[in-house]
Order: sequence, then structure tokens, then C-alpha cells
Amino acid sequence: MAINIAKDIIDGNFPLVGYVSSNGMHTFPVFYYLVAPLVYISEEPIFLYWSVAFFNIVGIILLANYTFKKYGYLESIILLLFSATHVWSLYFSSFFWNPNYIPFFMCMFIIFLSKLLNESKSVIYFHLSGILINIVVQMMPQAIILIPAFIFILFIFKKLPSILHQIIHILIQIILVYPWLYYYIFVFNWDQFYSKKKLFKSFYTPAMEYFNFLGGWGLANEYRAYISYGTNTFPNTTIFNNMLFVSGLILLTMLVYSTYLSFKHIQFRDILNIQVKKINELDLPHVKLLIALSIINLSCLMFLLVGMHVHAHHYQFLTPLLALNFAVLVGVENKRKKLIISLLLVSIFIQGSFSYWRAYSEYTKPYVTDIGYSDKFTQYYADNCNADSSAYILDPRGLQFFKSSTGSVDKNACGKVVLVMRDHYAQSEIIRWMLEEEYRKTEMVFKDYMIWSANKDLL
Amino acid sequence: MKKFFIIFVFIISSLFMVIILYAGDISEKLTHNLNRNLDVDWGDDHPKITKQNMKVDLLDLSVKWDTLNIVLVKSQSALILNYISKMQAFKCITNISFMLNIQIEIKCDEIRIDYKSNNWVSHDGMNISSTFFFERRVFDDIYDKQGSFEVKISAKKLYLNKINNGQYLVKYYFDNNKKLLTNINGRDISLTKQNEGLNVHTPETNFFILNRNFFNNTKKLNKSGA
Repeated sequence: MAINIAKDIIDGNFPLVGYVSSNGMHTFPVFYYLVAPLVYISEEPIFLYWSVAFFNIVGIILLANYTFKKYGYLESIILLLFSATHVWSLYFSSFFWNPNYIPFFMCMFIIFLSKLLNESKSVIYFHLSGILINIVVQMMPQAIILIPAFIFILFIFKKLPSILHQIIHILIQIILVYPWLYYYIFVFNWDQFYSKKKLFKSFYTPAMEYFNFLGGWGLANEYRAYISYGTNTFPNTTIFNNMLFVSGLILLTMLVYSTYLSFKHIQFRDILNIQVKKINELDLPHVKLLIALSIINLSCLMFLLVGMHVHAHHYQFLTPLLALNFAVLVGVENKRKKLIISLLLVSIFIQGSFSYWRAYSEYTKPYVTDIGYSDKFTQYYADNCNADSSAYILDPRGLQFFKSSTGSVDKNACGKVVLVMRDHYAQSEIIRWMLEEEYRKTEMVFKDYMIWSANKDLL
Repeated sequence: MKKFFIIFVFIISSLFMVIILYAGDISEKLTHNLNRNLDVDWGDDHPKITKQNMKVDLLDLSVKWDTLNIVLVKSQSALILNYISKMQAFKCITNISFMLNIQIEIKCDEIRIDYKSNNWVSHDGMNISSTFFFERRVFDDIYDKQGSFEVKISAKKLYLNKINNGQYLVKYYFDNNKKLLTNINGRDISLTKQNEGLNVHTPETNFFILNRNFFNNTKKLNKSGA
């Protein structure tokens, strides 16, 4: 659908809104405008998949380069290591989806925020940061918590620009969301609107999903909400779950410590008089950034307070932020530097092991529905079975139609064939029962799939 | 800090005083609301509930009733919810206590449950239902609402399809969001949600209720016994 909308934009038909989100309202349209140039270059899905990975890598490299120049070599290395191993970040960078470009824009936002905090003539960075937040929020409305966090950061660092610039910026924000506003003010029929409540749904889920985003164990399951495909960790699911849980626990502990450390530098007199304590010039940029990152990270508590139903992908705006938070923590902390680096390396090692094992596992045992493999199977199927044959996929969720063969009449009449992954066959008694009762195993194999047939002559 | 603590204690104490003073009125309101909510007709595809003399007592943290009838959906669907057709509970009292989790104890004089027959296909020591299929939302809904509950139900007389089975004690709680552990008169039974359906494990044997997809796509099941 996204490709079709982007093609419409290229043809001069400009959408006012995006798809209908789970709360019943249309999302913002910025994603389609941003991907339209990419679709103009190529509308091949694999190209768009690559573009997500490309932009996120570029974002991280730019942020690492900035970190290296501004904060130091060690900080830059930690940022890169963490970004190259964090389970959820790597997963979301591997496919084409609205929120998956967010890490790139967050990298840019953090660079501008750091410049805004540390440079005197900084009003341009204020506007740029605000525009980037707008784009992030348009791609993932839950990231709206960035707005109060950003304002609070500017407030405590006394970086709020003049009233004139504030008004100009509000106008910029209105212009950026104007298509959406126009649609809901002048076009939308509110009489037919039925909102699905998203607040006060669950006070437990935001905390668990945040922890999951840190540790990544949600991806150690094969099927999960909002995951097109997870990881078949059978028979080592418990080991992976425990490893990733430990990694999440380490990161959470360090985040709590980092928040404590940064807030120690804030002086709270009253609600209108919150200041940053005086720090020596050398540590100042590190501490300033750590405070800013901690405030943004802490703003996730808003999800908890309003009981919003969120999943790991809703925390994507934290992707570069967490990496930089840990990197800056290493720079700020002097007494426990070695301990923090050791813990970080343990966590990086755990997440890296899982992430790259997962990549290897997907390479050796790809899903036949994966982009790239689906076409290969179509060819394989056409080479072996005639056009009267249809292929089904059997997995622990059941039997689903996959595709019909396009093979010529001189090929086998395979009839109904069923593709089953060896792992699924090994792990599911029900799958074995169903296959052995009703189908016969053929000699055909595709990647890690066994192929069974209802046609008993086809052996 | 001391000032904050005093204010906090004062607010909490005031709240408790108000609750104690107005306990009767609050109980009456809760009784009214509970009865009203149970009387709502949610449509043909929802259970129908009738009851007599249902009362809430706030100070006692209890709900009492003389008769509670639950008539489940009268549809011909093979959905597992249709396994039980009717439940009746007479002269019951429900007590709620808050420990680490929420503990609910329901004591009844008599419980009557009518259920339909179920046919099973045997395979490798496992019995697979050929009459009903499992819908994971049924399990998920119960887990969402009772995930932190520990429930104990006792009846002096339990009638299953009109046959008196004597005294029964049923306890259940969720081990996690995939496993419900029950104990029925000392027998441990676990119900585990899987992608393929629901696995019911008893000390003697395993039962399996397939999900709708497997149920509909398995020709070998004899589905005539529904």
C-alpha cells in the first residue's frame, strides 16, 4: 500500500493522511512523502528494504562521527558496538515499515540537540530539532512524548528561544501537519467516527515492553503481536530468553544509575526554578547530554502513567538514544568506569550473539515467504510441478494457502503439496500427526522445507 | 519530608474513614451496579446471566447470591465455549482477599453444569478433540482479566449433566500467560495455550483441542459427534 501511495505522490496526487491506525484515526502522511523519491528510483520491495538499513546505518555513522569529535573515541566505539548488536534495532532496520526510519531521524535530532545545548548561536538547531521531532511523531504518534521532554530540556538549560522564534516554530509545526489537520477539520465525517480506546488499557505492558525493547527477548519467540516473523529458537528458547533477560536487566540497571547520576546534577528549588548545577568545563558537554538523554528516556514513564497499550516498535525512538546514553555514561562516570564498560560489553556480547545467530539461522533456514526466497520457490515449484498444483504452508498456526504453480503441462501433477520446516516438524506433535495421517513425504526439498503431498503417487 | 509524610498519612486515614462511614451506601451502589451490568443483554452471541438476590458487602469484601444461572451461547459452532451449555450456582458467597495476588474464594451449596458430549481421536497417547476447536482469544481474555487471580471454588454438591458428583474443590491460577494450573479434588491439571491449540494435561493422559485452522483442515477428524 505504501508503494502505491508513494506512486500517487509521484503522479501528483498528494494524500492528506496516512493509513488508519489501531485507534481508528488516520496517521500522518509524512512517511509517504519521504519514501516517494525512493519509490521513484525503484519500486522493488527489496530496494525499499535495503533503504531502511541504509538510512539507519548512515544515521548511526553520522552520530558516531559527531560523538567521536565532540565526546571522544571510547564513547564513539561504545555507540557503534551497541548499535551493531542491539536486538530490536537490528530487527526493525531489516524491513520496510513506517516507524523503521525513525532511528535515522533520531540520530539527526540528537546531533542537533547536542549542538543546541552546547553552542551559543543555537536557534537554528532549535528549529531543526523541532522539525525532526515532528517527522518522528508523524511516523509514530506515540513519540509525541518527545515534545514535552524537549521543551523541559530547553527549559532547564535555559535554551528556550525568543517568543518570536517560538511562534515561528509553532507555525512550522502547523504547516508540517497541515494536510492531516485539513483532512480532520474540513473533510472527515466525524459522525461516523468510532474511536478505539488506547489509554488506560494496561499499566503493566508499557513497563514490560520497555524492558523487552532493552533486552530483546520478545524476538526469541517465533510468533508475536506486530512481528511478521520472529525467531524459531527451538529447542533453545529458554536459554535465549534467559540470556536476553540478563542483558535487559544489565541495561535497565545502568539506565537507572545513569538517570540517578544525571539528576544529581539538577537543582530543584521550585517548579519554575529548576537548574543545572555548576560543573567543570571539561565535563559539561557530557553531563548536559546525559541529562537531556535521561529526560527523554524518562519521558517513557508517560506510557505507564496513561496505561497505553504499546509494543516494542513504539520505543523505536530510543534506538540511538540508548546507545548514546550508555556511551556518555562511560564518559561521565570515573569511579566505576571499568565496571560499567564490563557490564556493557557483557550485554553487547549477549545481544550480538543472539542477533548474529539469528541472522545466520535466517540465512540457513529462511522462511519461504521471505522477500527474496518467495520468488526462488516460485521458480523451483514451476520447475517441478504443473499448473494444476497448489502449495500450502503448514506451521504451528495451521495450514495456509501459499501459491499455485505456473509450471508447464509436462511437469508432475503434484496436486496439493504442503511445505513444512524441519524445525516445525520436530517441535510440533500436531504437525507430525496431521502430516502422517493425510500426506506423504516427497523427495522434493526447498531450503529447510520438507515437501509433503496429498498425491500418494508423488514420492 | 516529615511534613509530606504527615499529609500522606492524613489523606489515607481520611479516605479509610470515609469508606467505613459510608460503607453501607457504597455497598448498595456496588450491588446496584453489579446487578445492572449483569442484566445487560449483550446480544445473541454472549452468555445470558440471571440471578437472584445478589449483594455486595464492601467491608466484608464479599459478593453473595442465592441463584446464578449462566446460559452460554446457543450456537451450533464448534467453538470450545459451546462445550458448556449451562451453569448454575446456588447459595454462594464469594470472598475476596488481597495478598501478593488477588485471592477469590467462592463457596456454594450447589453447582450444576450441563455440557455437551465430546469425541476424541486417539494418537500416540494423546486425545485430540474432533468436536470442538479452541480459540486463543478465549484463553487470552481470561488471562487478561484473571492473570493475577488465585481462585478457589468449592461446592457441597456438584451436578454434572444432572448427576450428583458430591463435594468438589477446584483451585486455579495462571502460571504465566500460556499456562493455567488447576487442581480439582487433588488432581493437578494444566491447560497450556500453544499455537496449535490448547493442551490439557492430566496425570493420566494428554488432551488436545486444535485451533480453528487445524480443526477445519484436518480431514481425518470424525466431526459427526458435535
